[in-house]
Amino acid sequence: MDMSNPAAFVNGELLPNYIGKRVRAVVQVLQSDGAVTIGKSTDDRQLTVRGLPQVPPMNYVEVTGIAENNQLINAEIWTDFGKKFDINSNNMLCRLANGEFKSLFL
Amino acid sequence: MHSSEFDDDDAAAFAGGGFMPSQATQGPDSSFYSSKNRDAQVLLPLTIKQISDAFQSSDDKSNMIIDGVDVTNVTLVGRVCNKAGRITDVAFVLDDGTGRIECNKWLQEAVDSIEMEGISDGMYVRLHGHLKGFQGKMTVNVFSLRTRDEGVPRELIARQLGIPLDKLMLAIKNLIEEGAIYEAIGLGNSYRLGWVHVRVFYSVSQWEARPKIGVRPSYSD
Repeated sequence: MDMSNPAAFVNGELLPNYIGKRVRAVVQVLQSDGAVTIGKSTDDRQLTVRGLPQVPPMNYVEVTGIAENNQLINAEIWTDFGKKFDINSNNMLCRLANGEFKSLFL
Repeated sequence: MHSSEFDDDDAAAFAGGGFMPSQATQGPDSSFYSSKNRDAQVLLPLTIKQISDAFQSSDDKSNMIIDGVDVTNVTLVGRVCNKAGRITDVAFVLDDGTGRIECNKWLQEAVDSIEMEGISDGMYVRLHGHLKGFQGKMTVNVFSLRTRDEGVPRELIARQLGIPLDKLMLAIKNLIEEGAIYEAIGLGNSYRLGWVHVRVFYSVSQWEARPKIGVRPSYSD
């Protein structure tokens, strides 16, 4: 098992807790120009992602990478989930994974 | 009670193990889950971090216990990495964001090969498998692996148990509050369908449902 490189589940509210660290966040793409992507986190905050290719607007993308500041992630890995995604569950997951169940994740 | 339906193992399982709804319980008695009752094999949804922590703190690596339960079969959700196909098996690493673990899928039948051919690096999968220790580390021997996770609709479970849906959900809620079961938001929860993965060890209910292991209700959106 390799535990050396975890990524914390974050939404917009939790991202500031992990600046400089590896995070994973799901955003709904609002604007994408192949270099910078503006998206909405699962708790409805605006996030910016660098390093994504062009993604169709309104698609949900999970981004894993280093959090550069309160609102910016440098993407290393991404997964396009398409148009259908349960944002409430993901938001709840972020809160639980950073709250009472943090020991299961980090 | 339906004592004629149960063999000696099952009857012992119901005898005062703190699972009667009327008894307050501090939580599952870990000895109650010993695998001498062959029906008590559960399917554990875990994070790789949980496995790693249990591995570090366990004296007997071949008989790990997590949350008072013998770890046998597990279900994990994560991304496939470093997939290497060989003639008899496929090896890959599963990364669930909390850690990475080596996995192996033996190709015993044609359907296994077909299943694995459709899997490539970067894909999210849910897998079921058996945790085993080998040369000082844990690996997963994969039984099955899916890219889409459907869950089991709660309506189907209610129908199979022959009880109304609202009573099923109430029973689950009561069992959670008593500490007899717990609700785990699996990593699969955030993807696609949003379901809650509940491990039901035993449900001693007033509807006299048979004990069910590894039941997974899913909430439809």
